[in-house]
Amino acid sequence: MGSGGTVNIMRSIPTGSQCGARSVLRPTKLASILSLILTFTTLPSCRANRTEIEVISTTNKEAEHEGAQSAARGLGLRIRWSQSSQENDVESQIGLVDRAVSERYRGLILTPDGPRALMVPIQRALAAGMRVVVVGDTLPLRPQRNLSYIVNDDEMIGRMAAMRVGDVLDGRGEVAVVGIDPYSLNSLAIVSSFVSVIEQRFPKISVVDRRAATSSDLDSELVVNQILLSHPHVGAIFALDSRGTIGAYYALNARSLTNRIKIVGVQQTEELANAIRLHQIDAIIAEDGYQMGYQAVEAFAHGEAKSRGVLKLAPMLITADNVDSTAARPFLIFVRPAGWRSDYQ
Amino acid sequence: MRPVGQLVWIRYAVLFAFLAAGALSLIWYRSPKRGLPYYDQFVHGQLKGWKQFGGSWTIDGDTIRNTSGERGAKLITGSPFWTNYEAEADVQLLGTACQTGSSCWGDAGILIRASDLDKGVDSYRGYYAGLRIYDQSLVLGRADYGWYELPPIPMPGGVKPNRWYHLTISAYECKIHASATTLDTGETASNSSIDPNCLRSGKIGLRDYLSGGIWRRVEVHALNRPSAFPASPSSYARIHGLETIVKPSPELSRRSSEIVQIDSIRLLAASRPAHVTVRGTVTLVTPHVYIQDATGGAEVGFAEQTSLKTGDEIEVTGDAHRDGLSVQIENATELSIAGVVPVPALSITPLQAAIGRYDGMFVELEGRVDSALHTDKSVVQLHLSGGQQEFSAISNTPQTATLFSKVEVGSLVRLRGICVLNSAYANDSLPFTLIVSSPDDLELVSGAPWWSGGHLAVMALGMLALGFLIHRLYSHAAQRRRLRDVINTIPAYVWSHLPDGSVDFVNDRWLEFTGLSREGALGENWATTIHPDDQSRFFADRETALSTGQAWACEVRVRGANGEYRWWFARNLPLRNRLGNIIKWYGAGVDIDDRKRAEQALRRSEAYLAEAQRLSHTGSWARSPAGETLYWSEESYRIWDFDPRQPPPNLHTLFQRVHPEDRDRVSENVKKAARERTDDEGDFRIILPNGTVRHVHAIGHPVFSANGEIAEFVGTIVDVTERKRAEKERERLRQLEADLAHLNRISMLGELATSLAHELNQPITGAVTSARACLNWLAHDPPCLERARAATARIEKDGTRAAEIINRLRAFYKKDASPQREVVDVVEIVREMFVLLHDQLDPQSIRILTRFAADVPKVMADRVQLQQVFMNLMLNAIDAMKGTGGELTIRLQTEGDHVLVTVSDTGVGLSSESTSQIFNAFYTTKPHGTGMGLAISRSIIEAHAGRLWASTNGTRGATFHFTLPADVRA
Repeated sequence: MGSGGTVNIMRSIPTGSQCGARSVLRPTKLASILSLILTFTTLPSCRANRTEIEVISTTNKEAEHEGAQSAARGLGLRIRWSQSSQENDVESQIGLVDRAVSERYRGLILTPDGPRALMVPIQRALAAGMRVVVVGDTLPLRPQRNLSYIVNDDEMIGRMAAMRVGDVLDGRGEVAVVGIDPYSLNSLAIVSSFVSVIEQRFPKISVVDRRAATSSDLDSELVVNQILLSHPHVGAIFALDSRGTIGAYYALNARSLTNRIKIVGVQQTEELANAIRLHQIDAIIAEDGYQMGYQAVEAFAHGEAKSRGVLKLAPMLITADNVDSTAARPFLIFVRPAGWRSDYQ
Repeated sequence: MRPVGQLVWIRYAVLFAFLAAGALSLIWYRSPKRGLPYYDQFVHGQLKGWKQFGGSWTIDGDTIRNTSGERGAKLITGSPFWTNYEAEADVQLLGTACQTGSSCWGDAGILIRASDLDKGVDSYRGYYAGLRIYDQSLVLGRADYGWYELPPIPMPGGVKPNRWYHLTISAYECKIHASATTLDTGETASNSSIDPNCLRSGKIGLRDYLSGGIWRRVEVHALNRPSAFPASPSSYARIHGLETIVKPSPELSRRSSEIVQIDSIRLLAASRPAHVTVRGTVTLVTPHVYIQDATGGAEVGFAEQTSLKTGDEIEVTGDAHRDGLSVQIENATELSIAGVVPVPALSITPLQAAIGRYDGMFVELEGRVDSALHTDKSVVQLHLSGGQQEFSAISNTPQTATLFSKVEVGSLVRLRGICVLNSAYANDSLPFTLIVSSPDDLELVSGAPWWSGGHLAVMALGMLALGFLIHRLYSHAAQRRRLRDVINTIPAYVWSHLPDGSVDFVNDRWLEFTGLSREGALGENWATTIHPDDQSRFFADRETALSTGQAWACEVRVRGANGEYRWWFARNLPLRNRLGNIIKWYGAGVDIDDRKRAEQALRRSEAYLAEAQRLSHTGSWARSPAGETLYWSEESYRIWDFDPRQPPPNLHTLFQRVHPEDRDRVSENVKKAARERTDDEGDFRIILPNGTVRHVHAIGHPVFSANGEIAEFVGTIVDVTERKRAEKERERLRQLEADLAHLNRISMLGELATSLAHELNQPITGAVTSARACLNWLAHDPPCLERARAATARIEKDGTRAAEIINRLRAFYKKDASPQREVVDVVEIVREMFVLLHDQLDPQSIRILTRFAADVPKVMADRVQLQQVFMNLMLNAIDAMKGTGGELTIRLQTEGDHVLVTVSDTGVGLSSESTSQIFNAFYTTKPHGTGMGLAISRSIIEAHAGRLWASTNGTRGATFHFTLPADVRA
């Protein structure tokens, strides 16, 4: 699914000033001790890395970042947030993981771009004794000591989408699915859940087309246009990623079909939230990114990484009715709060 | 050491053995029966010795199969030198390249006498017999980079895939025979031929065309006679003149149906299996069938058994579902579409493969081998890493497994295979696995780095082993070299000989000395170098030693290269084995010639010394401070009159023979020398047992040790008895000589008496006259005092003169006048002598001439003795000129640091005999001469460190010369 980022949480550690402020000594002795303290605090053995948590995420994960920061502040941990500069930059993520291992971070919270490609680096981190929390996706690696997952409830997403499509189509019609990542188990799980619910709950609704995700909004728009040509009676479009949602919105908006063809998307963006407010998009199933970040840090801090296994977080259906509600607010964090504030308190 | 000639023969023998072994190896290698009979080892999973020319060959049980279905895949083994032999095997065609309702193609069979092999349909030379589906026949033909065949023989019961046939093809000289039997029914077909320009030798092989095939029980037997060949020549077809057979290409039909892309199946099969039809190329047939289209790959499970081959393009219809990210099509049916064009591998990175987009696809990627896991003989799993990823590769065939097992850990390899995400392979720990089917799909990009731990350890061990080996070899060689150098450079002549006495080694120094060659020295040739005078003794001793086995030594003269004999000291020792038997003798000789000469010189020197001591009556001795005699020379024995055969006497015994009057003094001197650590020297007398008294002069000298103590006294004792006696005699003669000199003077005084009387008379007469004149003058009145005084003065002068004359005479004849040296003016003495001899000179006949140099120095001399010399010489000159007259010339001059006095006369002169004898005592030419004057004069002059000699003048007379050293103080 989507994009991610990296968050590091650091436990508070004695600083140089704390080391040297224990007693009142003569100036010369004090200078010597301070010199020694300064020397030792610059040694690698006194570095804070061993108490830090590297958080590696993908793009557009501000809510997750905020959640992680919030949890870290509350727990007195220091995190280091590393976020890919572009989507699907697996190689960069692998490099970040390997760097965290080499710099002996205590833990790693990872939102992987290419889950299978990160299997080996994560195993290296585990072998180095790091706690690892994988966020947003699952890997073929089973949960184990020091390895846990915090993911979206894909089945619930698919079910929510199916129910919303069934509602907006009033139980009959055609729906097309776009934005499927054929190489993402999460994406395929959502599709599977969606199709299953449609088939079971709305047998008069047929899934007439399924299209893979594209790499740009323009491609998504072209894909939707093709669907509209192939299936002129399609009544709803279920987009599994924000790019597919936006592409569908552009295509329908260009043909002035936003009122007739409903869009149900997955993954929230600020633009999509505004489109909901304008009733140009019917609904978005929002991931709880804030909770993902928060729970990941909590899991790390409380040592739950080895016991929790897989934590599934429920998504929220955002519609025009609740887009500005308090409940929806944590799901719609798109930028960091303004103002300078230390990550560490 | 082994003789050189023997070593040369050994080298030739080794070289010949190598050459013979090489020739035999070559003959064996080219033997037409090498390796025959041959039986395949497929049942053991071994494909060793077989070489692939195309195809995808795998061992399955006791069979070998090719599933590639390409045209003319070959598997070759055997020797290129096999000539007459028979090859047989069970053959089964795997499938056919036929379509529904159309003709089918394909054949499989055996190659013989194959050579010049290459990949390709007919790319070889050889004979081929096979079972062909196209015409259901047994085909026999020859390939020569083109195909020629005999008319095919229809196979009873036809040729069908999946049916076993036993196929035999044999060749004897240019006769070729093939037969085939259907194993189920026993139906047989055969064909024979004679090929006039036949291929004579070659390997065997398995070959198929399009059909793929299975072979088992491949055997090859040599043929010694053509027993299985038809006897009638008419039974043979002739290969020449046959047409080239060009096989028709199969025409494939197409079936159109709704085709989906494999990649889209993931979307379709999201919720439940979807019934799909895909079109793709077979990329893998075992253990599972994989097909691939442009979008992806999928695993296909067929409802029925198929005979698909890699590269088949097919349509598959079945139920597609998704297992994770992998697509599987089950209950599938297939429809062959076309040819056998394998799909090229997609070259990707491990990271791309790990993302999962190439699942089920034939890919190529590189990785470095981390480890290898051997599951069984047909499955080896490599663990690789590359591109930040780790993955595994599994061998799918025994051949691939064999190749995998040979890959070193750390090697960088390029692999081609099916990328599988299925957790059954990856075990949930690796992102993907590569299934590799063919050995051709593994390429070694670079070997394991040499610095790997294992390599370093092996290298270290190797280096250690090599170093140890080199060290051992070098040490051994160095030891041999050192030993050889030692043997050749030690200052000794070294040899060894066998128990029978024949010499088998001599060192370089021996050869250098004798000038013989090494060959010339071995055996018994060396014996000529022994001095003829020593040979009998030497060889007798040697024979005794050889017979008794006892070590022996001798001194013998050996002839050198220059012909000179030198003394050697030779010593020989036997070397025995464990049983005590002598296996060799070793000997060494040392040149002792110099020592011998030194000993002779020493003995001679000692003899000389003894003789010198005997002649000089000098003995030498050495004794300890305690008085023990350490050394006592032979002359010492003689001087002390002890028996030389007895030990030397000690100091106490010696004291017994010291004269009693001297004993205490000698004892005290000895003690004093020991006490004061000084030399002891003195004369004393000894009394010999026969009462003889000897005078001896003894000298003792202390010799000190390093710590300053007296170690010993060494010294000499000289028998001075004769010298003492001579000294007494000389004293007596000296007294006698003094007496004679006095007598001479008295004699001369007699001769001077008249002159002296006249001389004395003159002053006395003058004095008397002057006295009378004085009286007269005193008697005058008044007395003339002045004149009286003058007269008195003359009286005093005359008196003084007379007194002087008397005093000189008294001193001259005084007997015991001892020499009184003083500074003397020789001129003055000469003038005095003129005064003394005034009356002896006849003024009428003898004229006196003086030639005094201006600066004649004074001399240190006894005035009286010098006057005596002048008087002798001048009287002799006067005597020589008596009666004849002449000139007496006295010259004084300086010659160097001496005053030369010459007294010359013009008298009768000297004869030559007289010249040599006139200085002898009692020799005189005068009738009343004593013969002592000149002898005494010479002794006086010589006592004054001068020299006196005589010479005859040229005309008349003689001249006497004497010199006196000038007084440097004057």
